[in-house]
Amino acid sequence: MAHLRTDPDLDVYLRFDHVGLSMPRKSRRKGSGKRGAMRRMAGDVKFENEVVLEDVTFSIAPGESVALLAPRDSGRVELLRLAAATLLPDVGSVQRSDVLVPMLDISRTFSRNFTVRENIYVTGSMLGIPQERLPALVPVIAERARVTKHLDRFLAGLNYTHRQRMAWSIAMAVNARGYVVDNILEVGNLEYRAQCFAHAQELRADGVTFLMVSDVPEQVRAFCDRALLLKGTRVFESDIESGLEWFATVSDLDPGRRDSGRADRDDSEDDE
Amino acid sequence: MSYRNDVRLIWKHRALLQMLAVRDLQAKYRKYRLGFLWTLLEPLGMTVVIWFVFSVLLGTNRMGLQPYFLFLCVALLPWWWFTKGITATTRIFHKDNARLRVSLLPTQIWVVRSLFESMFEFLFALPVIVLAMIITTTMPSPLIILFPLAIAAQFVFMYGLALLIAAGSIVIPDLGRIVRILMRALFYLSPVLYAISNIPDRVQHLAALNPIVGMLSLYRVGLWPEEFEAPTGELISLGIGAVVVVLGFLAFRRQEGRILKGA
Repeated sequence: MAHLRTDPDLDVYLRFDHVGLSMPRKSRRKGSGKRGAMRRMAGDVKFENEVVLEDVTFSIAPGESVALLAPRDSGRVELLRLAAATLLPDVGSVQRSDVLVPMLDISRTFSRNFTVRENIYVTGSMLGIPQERLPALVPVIAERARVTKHLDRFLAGLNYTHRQRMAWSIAMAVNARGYVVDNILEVGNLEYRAQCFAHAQELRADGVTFLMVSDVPEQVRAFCDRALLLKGTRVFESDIESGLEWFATVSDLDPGRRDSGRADRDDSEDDE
Repeated sequence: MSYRNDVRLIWKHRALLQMLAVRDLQAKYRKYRLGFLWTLLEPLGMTVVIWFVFSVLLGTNRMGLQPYFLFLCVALLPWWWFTKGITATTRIFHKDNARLRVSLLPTQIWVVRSLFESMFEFLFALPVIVLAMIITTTMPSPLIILFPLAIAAQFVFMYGLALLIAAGSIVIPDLGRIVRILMRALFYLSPVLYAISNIPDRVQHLAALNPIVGMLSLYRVGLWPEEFEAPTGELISLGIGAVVVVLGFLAFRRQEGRILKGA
């Protein structure tokens, strides 16, 4: 493995040791089109790096379930990617005793040119399901995602909710001992969400480790043991309640909303 | 140590890579009436055109080795694989980046995938060479057993070069454009349309600096063994290819973090 290294002798599940990270500035993505091109020609778009994380040190014990509370675009996704090893730190080190499956917008990796079966196969491989297990697992995953009847159709025919359920089911089928989750602990309609949540709780009771970003305070209360707060570029430890209190002051979400703006779209599109 | 890992990586994920390559090709050829037949027809047609221009229109028999049509096929097919594969690698990490965010697979796998697509096209086109041998009634010498070795050597060379270019194009986004021009230059600087013996004597030894020379020689030696009786230049050329491969490994390892950041 090129960049995914696990160290089974580690005394904790995940350890960040004085991790620092800078990322290319996000403004550069907006520089498309005629205006962007002109700005680029004029040398107006800067490609400088932005410091995202500085001196981040924490560790997570096996079986712990930790919430990472931070406003959007603050580097929280980068921190999750570092934990899962799909991003490498500039300084410091990240060690893990076992795999952490990255549940980060998995549905975006699906390809429209592939059938549902092939998408499950490819994404399953990406998340670390061994090849010899995959052929048998694909129907099980499809069943759980409720896409069995679409199995040999092209993905283009499936709606957003189908894809979300596929992503969720694939990640769960990995059967890993650790997950990093970005707001997709529950997907689909209310009934399916309840199933997802119950399943995640079972895993938690079984000693699976979670590091999750969630914009839903109730979910954090129900699922997490403690919290990490990402303030600026640094990480602080906290208990759930005082963490959520701080989060409410920095989060840009409408507090009356149950979910991060996805719920309405999910339910209206569901056809089953 | 590191190359062994890469061999293991390809072997471990062979089913996935094969599926991805077949799917990539299907997506490419599905829309055509003749489908996969185009992997044969396109190289055949292109070779016929070039053969017609250089052999019939220009009427020269001095270029390349005879039979010229077979000579062209044996070099043009690997060349097209080379140029398609390498040009594609400049784009690998600039599109389709959502995968890198969640993929626990080694990053090189996406390079291999892109090379596999062009390699499969090359393999499908191989009957063209057999056809050319039949048309020109040429019997290969026993050295034709080096042909599979040539394919393997080309794959390794392309893999190294692809890693180098993929790493480089993260640092310099313009590399994709530059590579396209370099490819065109390399086409005329490499003995694809002509043979080494066509080059004036005083610059012939410079050809040894071109890694493509050694690669193409491995393909040709089975059909024109008399041309390669003292293969010093060819061996130097292969050695330079090996250096490029090592550089590719090192550069990719150095830039991997930055590639992942781009996702």
